[in-house]
Amino acid sequence: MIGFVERTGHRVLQVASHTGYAVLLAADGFYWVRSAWQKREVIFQQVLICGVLSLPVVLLVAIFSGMVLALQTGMEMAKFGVEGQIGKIVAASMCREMGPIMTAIIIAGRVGSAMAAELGTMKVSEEIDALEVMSISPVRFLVMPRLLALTLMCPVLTAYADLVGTLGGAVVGFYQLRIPYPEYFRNALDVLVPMDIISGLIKATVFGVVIATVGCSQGLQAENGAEGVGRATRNSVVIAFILVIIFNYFLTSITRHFF
Amino acid sequence: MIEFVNVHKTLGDRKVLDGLTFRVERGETFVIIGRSGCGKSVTFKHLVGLLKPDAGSIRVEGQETTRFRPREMLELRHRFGMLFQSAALLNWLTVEENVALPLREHTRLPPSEILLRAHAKLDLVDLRDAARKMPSELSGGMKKRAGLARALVREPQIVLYDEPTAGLDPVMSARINRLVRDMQGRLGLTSIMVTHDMESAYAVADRIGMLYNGRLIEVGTPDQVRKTQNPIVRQFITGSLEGPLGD
Repeated sequence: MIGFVERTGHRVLQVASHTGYAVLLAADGFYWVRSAWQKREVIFQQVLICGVLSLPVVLLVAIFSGMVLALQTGMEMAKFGVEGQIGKIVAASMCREMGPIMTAIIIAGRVGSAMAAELGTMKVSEEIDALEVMSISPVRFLVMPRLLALTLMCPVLTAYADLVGTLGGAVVGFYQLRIPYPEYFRNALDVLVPMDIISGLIKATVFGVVIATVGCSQGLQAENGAEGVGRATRNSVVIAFILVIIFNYFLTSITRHFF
Repeated sequence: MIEFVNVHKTLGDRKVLDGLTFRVERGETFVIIGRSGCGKSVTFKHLVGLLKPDAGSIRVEGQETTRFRPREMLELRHRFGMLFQSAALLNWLTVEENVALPLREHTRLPPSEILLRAHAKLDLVDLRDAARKMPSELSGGMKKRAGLARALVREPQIVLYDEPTAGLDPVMSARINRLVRDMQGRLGLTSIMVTHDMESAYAVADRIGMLYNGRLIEVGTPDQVRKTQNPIVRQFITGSLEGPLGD
């Protein structure tokens, strides 16, 4: 019994310590945004890696998600003769929930894990120590560009996913449900209010911060060689997924409450 | 002058430093020898403030560094250059970019001047031809030399060498040793090296100290260490399987 309590207490302390580290890391990262101009080349490079190079994956996932959403709901709605309304469902779902969540999951898997692996490898091969000995802040040099790039690019990718997913729904609506494009888009625009899109983009921004913070903090805390880097990479994906889902609920509640 | 006085450090359940005490004079090359995992690298990490001791005092030029704030520690690190065991070059930068990095981050010198200084240090370690190469294209010895050029580029007063000959062939080891000796002769640096390579220790040291169970059990000139009667030190320097160190 004492052993169980001891283990639980140890685990709780560990989680609290990791959480504290990650929060302070994010705060430190945003503090160093003041030197973003000097680091513009690295930030641009990260924007390219996080954003531009993620476009093909986001395109594929978003377009097929929009298509399957239109197909599944459209076929059910057809039983009641209201399949013409499918544009409303696809557009609202993509902008409010699916776009931000889907993009965050892609980014956590593709970019957050790469951040953890990259920084983890640097940690175990003493490169982080070398930066510190050279009086170069690893947060300013490595974390801030990644944090900033992901915070900026997550909403951009989400907007892109919203658009592409809605278009995917339109294609399925036209070819399989015989809904003309003008009707689909008229319905889509009828249901959408600016706050639907804005709340989705706010969520995406928060998800960007969460994914970058988790990826960087896991990487910077990696130890014990390749095994530790593997663990940090795996943890970064799992923790980012869980946090994105939890944050999504609270952000939805908040945006629904206020807007 | 660098001074460790009664420094203690426990990592996890293991007492790594247990009353470590030594003093290195300005311009001296002090070599710490000891078995793998005996706390040599931990000693370095204390010196540059990457680790804080549980107890004891560390003084650099008379200043107590254990009570330094982060900003003061950053200032102190400007006086240090460190060659890491793995060289720790950033693998997405070329050799010259790696060497130029500290100047690029800490000075407002024009890029052409920074490059000039980086090339001068690469000349010093005979690596100018590899300036545009990526670290992945370098051999182990070349990486170490590039790491040394980076450690020296800010003209530090104190240079720390963490196992500089580990994993190198004897010829390359001799070359690194000569380089360390040359640097000390030419630039008058204070140097501390940790190694378990006795050839290297004899070649570069003014004094050698053996770290065992978290403290220095023997300190002396290379000649004194060669002739030591301490059975632990004797076993270590001769590489014998029989003795108090076990195998």
